[in-house]
Amino acid sequence: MSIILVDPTASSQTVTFDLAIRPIGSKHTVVALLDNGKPNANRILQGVTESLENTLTWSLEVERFVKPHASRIVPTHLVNQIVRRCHFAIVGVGD
Amino acid sequence: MAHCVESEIEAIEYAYKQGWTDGLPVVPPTQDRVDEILRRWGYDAGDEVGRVPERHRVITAEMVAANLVMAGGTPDMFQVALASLEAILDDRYNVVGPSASTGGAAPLIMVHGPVIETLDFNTETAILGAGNRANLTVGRALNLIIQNAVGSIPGALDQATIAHAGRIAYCLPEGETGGWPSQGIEIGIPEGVSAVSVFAAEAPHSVADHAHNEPDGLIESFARIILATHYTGAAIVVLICPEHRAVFQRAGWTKNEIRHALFETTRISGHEIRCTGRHDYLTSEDTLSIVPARDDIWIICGGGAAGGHSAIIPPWLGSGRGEGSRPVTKGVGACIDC
Repeated sequence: MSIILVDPTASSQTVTFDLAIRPIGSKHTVVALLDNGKPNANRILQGVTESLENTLTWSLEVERFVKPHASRIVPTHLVNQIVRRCHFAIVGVGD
Repeated sequence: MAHCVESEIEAIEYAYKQGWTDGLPVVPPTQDRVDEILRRWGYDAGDEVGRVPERHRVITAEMVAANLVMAGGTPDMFQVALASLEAILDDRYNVVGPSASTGGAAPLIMVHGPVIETLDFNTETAILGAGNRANLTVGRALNLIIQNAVGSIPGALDQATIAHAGRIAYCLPEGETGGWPSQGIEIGIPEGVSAVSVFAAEAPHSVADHAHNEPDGLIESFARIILATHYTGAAIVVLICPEHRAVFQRAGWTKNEIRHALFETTRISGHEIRCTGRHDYLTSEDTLSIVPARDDIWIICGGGAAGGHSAIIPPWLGSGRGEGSRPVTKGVGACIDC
């Protein structure tokens, strides 16, 4: 006789997101640089900033943010702030 | 998807193939075994008992029961497993942090109250070692739940650099206090109520001191071990063995006097802490004790009667700047927050 086993795992529920509009063009662009609060995240973000400034032909404004707690997800108020003020965000993940 | 096998031995191999185990064989989570637990405690299989919002996961009573069965636990242990799950899903524990971090912390379950005796937890010889079903299977059940239901699978979302054996089972029931209040009583758990406090923790660091027969010398020994750990603004657990407890108690010391002495003895400069390769944001002018407040030193009594072997159990390293890991307490079969 067969033995039925109970699955002890939980699956992630399906969540759908709409992709944000890509800010491709020649207008003044505001980028959020989000430091995840771990060592060296600021270094890679600095490098990314310099690379963007050298690559883009239009003006780039940089807004810097730091996660208040490296091991926690970004607080909603900070996400909302970034969405309000910036066209796109780059996250620096250090360790 | 139905999981059907033809024998118990095949079921053990099947669990390996499905990635359900921690590397050790498991008791097959048969429908009968799981249903027995659910019936005993009045749950339906699909009853929601927790959520991991960061990972869009819902955890059901059936999953907890299945992992408890796999760990080798008995139906009696279900409420302790459930309380432990509730503790790690509390925002203060932040399970997606320590179970994913390179720091490799493990969930230390401190058990308080009558359930220690009811379920026959071991508080004496080899308290953190092998030889007792309740200690090992309750600890293992929580780790299996974190792997299978929370989703922290080693090598995937769990990126621990080395981790430690507490990732299999890490359970510390409170033992004989010799007249001191237990840690559970000190944090306000009512007499006669059982609870667990779960703490994201490193492996125990041994304090082997067979020489000092007076408190000041012992404090110095404890402090020297603490000085090599993390100053993250977190709590720390001090496990005091009976021989060391007797030294303090013969001299009339209270637990709060030990806390005060450790707090003062572990105060060092930011420069000294930075020399350990940690906390580079501290300046030489900063002065820190191991914990932000004396009450963040948890003192648990336990261990075998022979030997001067206590332990320091440091917090998870990844807790960050001033907002570190602290034990989260939940009642077993009773709400102690209400």
